[in-house]
Amino acid sequence: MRALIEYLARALAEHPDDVVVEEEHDGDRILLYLYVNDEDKGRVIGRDGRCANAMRSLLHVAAVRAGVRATLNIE
Amino acid sequence: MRIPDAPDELPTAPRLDAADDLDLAGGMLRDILNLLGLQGTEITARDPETPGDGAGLIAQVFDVYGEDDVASDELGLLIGRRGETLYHLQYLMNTIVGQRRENAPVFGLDIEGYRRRREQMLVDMAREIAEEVRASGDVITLEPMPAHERRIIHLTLETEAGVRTESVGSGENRQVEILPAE
Repeated sequence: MRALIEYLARALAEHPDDVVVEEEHDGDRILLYLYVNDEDKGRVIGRDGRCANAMRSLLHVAAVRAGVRATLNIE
Repeated sequence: MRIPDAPDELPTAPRLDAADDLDLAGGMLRDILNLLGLQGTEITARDPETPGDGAGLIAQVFDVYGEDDVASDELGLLIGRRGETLYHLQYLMNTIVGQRRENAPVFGLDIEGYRRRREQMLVDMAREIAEEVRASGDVITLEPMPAHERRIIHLTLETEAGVRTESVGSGENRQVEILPAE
């Protein structure tokens, strides 16, 4: 799940080396925290949050497949 | 054209040295399927053929199919409710290619033939309702639909005698009206 978000964020970012994803487990819940270069925040979130929504949508697929619940926070 | 199958290690970023835009987009699609654990899938690229494919708007359509029944079932999740996840994936793919390449074309995506089936359903429905409008003279408003689905209705009825179409409302509530021709 973390690899998926890392991949997508690196693909969107102008500074892929600055992409960091932290993963926190809380029972069957997984919390992902995405950190990107300040200049990339807009790119990763997208117009009207469309990139963030699309990433969450794919994260949901990964979570269902793994039988967990996952949420993505963009810091 | 076939997009190569899974490598042994999970990808960490798109290969920006891809030969062309199609390769970059197809390679990303393969990466994302691998990251989701959907390895038993075949990706092919073809020319768009119908309004639903986005003929006239997009360069190539990627068709994703499972290699067996299990893989096909699993792909259902990637289509999502009313194709929502499919459109999200298509949006991400095009956004990333558009950021990396100048004047990149737009690519389409279909999974397990979902869009083709949905298009056929919309075409059949549009024709049936046009018939009703012609017979009754009433205006009939369809349920809200995304832009590419409304486009299918408009294009289907463009050549039908006795009716015309209009879109009303805004955002997620935008709907097609089928009206008797003046």
